[in-house]
Amino acid sequence: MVGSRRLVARTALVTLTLLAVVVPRASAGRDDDPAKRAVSRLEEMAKLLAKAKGLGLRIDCAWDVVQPTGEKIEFGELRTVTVRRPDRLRMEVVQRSGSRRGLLFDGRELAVFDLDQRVYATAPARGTLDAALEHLTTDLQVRVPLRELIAADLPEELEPFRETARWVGRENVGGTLADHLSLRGDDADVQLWIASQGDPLPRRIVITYRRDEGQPQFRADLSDWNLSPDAPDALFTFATDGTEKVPFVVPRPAGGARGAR
Amino acid sequence: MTRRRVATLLAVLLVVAWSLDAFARGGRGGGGRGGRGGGFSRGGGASRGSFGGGGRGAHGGGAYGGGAHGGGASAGGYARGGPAAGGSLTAPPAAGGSGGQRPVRETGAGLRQAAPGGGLQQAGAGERQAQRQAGAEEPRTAAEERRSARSGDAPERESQRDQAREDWQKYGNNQREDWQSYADDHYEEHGHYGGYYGGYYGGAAVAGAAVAGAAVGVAVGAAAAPPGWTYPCTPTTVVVGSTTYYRCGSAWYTRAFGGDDVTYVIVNPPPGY
Repeated sequence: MVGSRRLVARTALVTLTLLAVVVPRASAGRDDDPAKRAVSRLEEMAKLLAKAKGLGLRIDCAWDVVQPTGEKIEFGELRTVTVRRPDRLRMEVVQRSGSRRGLLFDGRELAVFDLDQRVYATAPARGTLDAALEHLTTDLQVRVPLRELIAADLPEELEPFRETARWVGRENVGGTLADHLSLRGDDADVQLWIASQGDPLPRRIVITYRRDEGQPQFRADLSDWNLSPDAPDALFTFATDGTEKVPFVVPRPAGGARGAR
Repeated sequence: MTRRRVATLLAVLLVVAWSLDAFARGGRGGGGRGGRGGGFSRGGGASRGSFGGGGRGAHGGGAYGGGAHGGGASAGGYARGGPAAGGSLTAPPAAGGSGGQRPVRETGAGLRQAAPGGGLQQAGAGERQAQRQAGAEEPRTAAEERRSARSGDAPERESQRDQAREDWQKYGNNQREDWQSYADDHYEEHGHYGGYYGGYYGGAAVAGAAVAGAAVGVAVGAAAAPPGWTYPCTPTTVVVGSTTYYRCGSAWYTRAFGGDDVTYVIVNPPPGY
């Protein structure tokens, strides 16, 4: 009889322990609906990246180009990025074709270079890195994929996506457990994988331009994150030895008169 | 008897605990595996990753079904730029070459979109393009608002741009006019223009180099097509000072960055030519 009571007591203890461990987790799961969980992860990531004094990362990216035949062809490149806030950027690019190029911003000037053709071009760009990136991509029409991720105004850039953000699931991406989010923009659908453990850093992104012909995608794996990279001034200065300075030319707007300025 | 009851109770509790745990991990869909949240479908044609027509059935025989385009027209000269190359989170870059690795070819891509008589698919594409442009108005305005919200940045950028223009203009408005008419003349002659305005940024540096080079002397290189050269002739390379010129008959070109790609723009002949 005494043995039975002991057994019941032990069973009750085990049960209570199990419930103490499991029930809070279950409650957390219920409270955290896919939208709230997605917004929470998005905000954590944006805050972390926007407030970092520096950023270092590798972007292994690929994009579809829809050919006149309708066929989609993939191209890609590897970008190594170093940012020192508020006004320094180094981005080295190795295309899959082997072509090596890059861009630099030292707080006063933007430089774009091609190491194989041994040419570079510069443009004045005083101010913050965000302003320089805007100038580079909008006025000079130089491609800087995922520039939003390295901009200090990332939280504002992601604001339009908050309402549509959904949590898809928890997945292993490149060996890292990550929260898979889905965001719907007006022109593009974005899928984002944010590390579930440790710093909430983006590990993968897929952007689908759903309104464009053939719905091409841009895909990138983000690795080698470093929030305090070694970034001396020299890293952001271009050595012009043996290279030719050339101008930037701006593509004529579609439908514009030839030679109009 | 008591032991059996206790064992049964324990088993039931373990099952309940396991179920609660699985639920907590997001397995609401009843599939059991953790991480299946959000109610997203995980199937579809593309998930098969088949080289064959695997996707077609799932998409109900959509316009992009295999085989319709058959002959694979463009061996070699594939377009390399396009909206996805820009990798922007929001609207893809505006038409006209931004985001393209080869903006010169982008001009061709623009023609493709405008080409009439492209069949049902092309017509549909045109419609979608129009819809996209209409739909894109609002978000682009929002993006512009965000940009202008960067206090102080926009006016500074504008002044930088104006300064660059002034620098270029120092080279001489007359020279620019000459350049323009020269370019127009040679566009007709060679059928190429490259789809660019011409040098805004850093133009003065190139012009200065050309003038300085005239005093130093001229080196003439062997005829060879340089990397990225898309014109139908093979140019002669002429180095004047620190500037490399490429000559095709009476047309002269120098290199420039168009977008993030090196391209060739038509220029005045260097002094002495």
